[in-house]
Order: sequence, then structure tokens, then C-alpha cells
Amino acid sequence: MQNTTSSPRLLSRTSIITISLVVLSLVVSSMLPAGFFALLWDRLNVFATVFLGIFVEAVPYLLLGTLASGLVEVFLDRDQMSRWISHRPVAAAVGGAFMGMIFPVCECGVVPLTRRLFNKGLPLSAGIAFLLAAPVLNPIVVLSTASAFGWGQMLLWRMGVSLIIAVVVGLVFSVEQNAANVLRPVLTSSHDHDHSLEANASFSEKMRRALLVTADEFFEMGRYLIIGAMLAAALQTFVPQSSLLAIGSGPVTSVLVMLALAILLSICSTVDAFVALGFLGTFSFGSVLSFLVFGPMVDIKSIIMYLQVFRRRSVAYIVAIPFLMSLLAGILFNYLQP
Amino acid sequence: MPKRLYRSFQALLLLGLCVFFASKAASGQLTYYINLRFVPLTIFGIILLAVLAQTLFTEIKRSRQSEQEDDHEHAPVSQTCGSCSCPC
Repeated sequence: MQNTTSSPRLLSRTSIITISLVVLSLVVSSMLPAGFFALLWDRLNVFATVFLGIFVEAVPYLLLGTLASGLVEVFLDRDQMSRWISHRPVAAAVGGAFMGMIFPVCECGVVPLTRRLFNKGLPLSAGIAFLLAAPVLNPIVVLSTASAFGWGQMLLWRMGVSLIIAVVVGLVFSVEQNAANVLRPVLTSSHDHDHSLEANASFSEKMRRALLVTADEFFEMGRYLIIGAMLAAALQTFVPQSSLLAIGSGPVTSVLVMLALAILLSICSTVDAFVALGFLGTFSFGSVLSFLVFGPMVDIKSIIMYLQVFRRRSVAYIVAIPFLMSLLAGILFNYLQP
Repeated sequence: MPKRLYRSFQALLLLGLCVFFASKAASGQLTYYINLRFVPLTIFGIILLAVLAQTLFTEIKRSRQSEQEDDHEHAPVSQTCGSCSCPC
């Protein structure tokens, strides 16, 4: 009778691979120049500082956005929403964009709030216009832009161009009749039990439920904020700003460079005016304006967050249309107001 | 993951973030990262984090008292709480 049991192996396959990797890394590290690890350590320190900078700046706004989302979930019902917002595309897009003036949320906080509003029956065009307009038109950003540039042209054009872009993108999405083609299936599929409250629930009970929704939403969107902030920090650490700034000085390339910087830096819209002020001496009015318009709408962390709400093709439109319109606006202003 | 354990992780992380921000604010290191004029908003964030943590702790206590814990699954802890603990 043949013995089918194989003799026990001395080392498992995983152990062999682990030992090989350790030996390989030791050999490679011995071949690296002496200063490599010091340089790597320095870069990691820069990475951690930049990451924490983005994170510390964004968290209060994410909290505000998720709190607004929790309050909307508990205190606003679908009937109220459909009464307030028109379902005609142009009116909905304009209404959605102007709705951004009420909510003090930046690009981090606006994503969970918009998702909640979609769940409450907000039309696509209004939601998209709100998503893009709110980070620029909200009162905090208006005040910070005014304190950086004064109550002048930059503030006026920043708000005007952002409003136009938001309405246009909203109108583009109004063509789509089926929201399921634009929005991702509800992320809370693993959480499909009912959290609804009775109509006669007390105020404190409603607030308790709103805070629980806030906490859940904060964790759900917070992880994407962290991934986005890490990506942005990694890019800022390993792609120096100076190399980008060296590329562009012409009327077109300078706008392109500022748009790339807007994505790369991922600065919160509430403080980007102060950063942009520093660029005003180096770059033209149009380039700085395009930075101020495009940055709050699209950056690395917001793209990662958009991907949790919208389908990939929709995100491509949400990124591409504002990019092209900001580019066009920047070039136009560079020629009109060099 | 059982709901009570999930809520405990959430509450501890919120408390951790709250302590992290409060320590940065107390040591004056907050201005290394953000403009001075936005510090009040971060203070508001610290208060909100504490309120959220307190709400979750109360929720855990309530579910323990009522013993009506629903045993549905939440997202794996590695996905939500894990990634959110990175900054701490």
C-alpha cells in the first residue's frame, strides 16, 4: 500500500518568502549610500507634518458637515425637501448653488451633507451645483477671501465664476433622468436596518439620534479624508512646489500650473485665499483666480470622497468640467487683465 | 462586529482625537498647522468631538441596560476605526 502522506516540510512557504525578503532588504540596504536613511527620515517627517496640517485644518469642517448631515437626517423629511426645491433643471441648479451660501461647510464637509440631501430627495442638478458652489460661496470663505484680497474684484470674480461653473455642471447632470446612473448604491448596505424615529419623539431623543448619525458619518467620510490627505501629503513631499512653479510663466501654462497646485496642495477653501495671496506677486490675476475657483471644487482628498458618493464616470465629469471652465476663465482673465 | 463593541471603538477613537486636538491646542502647536484665526473653529471641533464621544458612551450604557442590542453586522473595524486612528 502506497503511503500518501508527504513528509513534513521544515519551513512553510510563507516563512521562506519572509526570510528571503528580509535577506534581500538587508542586502539592498547595505548597498545604499550612507545618507539615504537620514534623507528618508527627513522626508517622512515632512510627510507627517504636511499630513497633519491638512488633517487638522479639515477635521472641524468635516465635523460641521457631518453634524449638518445628522440634523438634516433627523429634522428634515422628503416632503419638505420637495416643497423647497424646484424640480425644473435650471431653477434647481441655481437654487442648489445659492443654497451653498447658507451652509458653512468646506469641500470636506459638503460631501456627506450632499449625500444626505440626495437621500432626502434633492434633485441631481441641485445637489451637484450645491456640492461645487458651497465650498466657495459659504460665509466663512467669503469673509476669508475678503480679508485676504479686500472687498474687490478677486472676491467678486471668485464667487461669480464659481457660481457659473456650479450651475453649468448642475445643468449637465440634469440631463440624466436616472439618479442611479450617477450616484453609487447606498454605502450603508451593511446597515440596512431602520433608524427612523417616531413622529412624536422628543427633541432630546431626536438630537441624540442626530449625534449618532453624525458619529457614523464622521467615521465613514473621515477615512477617505485621511486617505486623501495622505496622498496629498505624499505628493507634496516628493513633488516639490518649486519644480511646478518653475514650469509656468506664460498666460496658459501659468494657469495650468496653478490648477495643478490647487489639486496637489488640497488646501481647505476657508484658508486658500491667504495662500493664493502669496502667489499674486509671482502669478497673474487669472492664474490666481483659477486657483481660487478650482481648488475648492476639486482636490485630491475631495476626489477620493466624491468616489464614495458618485460613480466613477460622474466623478470624471465633476472633475473635468470645472477644470476646463477654470482653465478657460483663467486664460481669459490673463488676456483681459494681464 | 457586534454593535456595542463597534460603538466602543468609535467612542474611544473620538475621545482619542479630542485629546489629540486638545493637547495640540494647549501646547500652542495648533498654529504650526493652521492660521491663528481658525483656532476657535478647532476649539469648537474639540467640543463637538467630546460631545459625540459622550453620546456614544451613553448609547453603549443604554444598550447594556436595556439588553436589546441588535446583533447586525457593521463595517469591519479595520476599515473605519482603523483608518481613522492613523492621525493619533
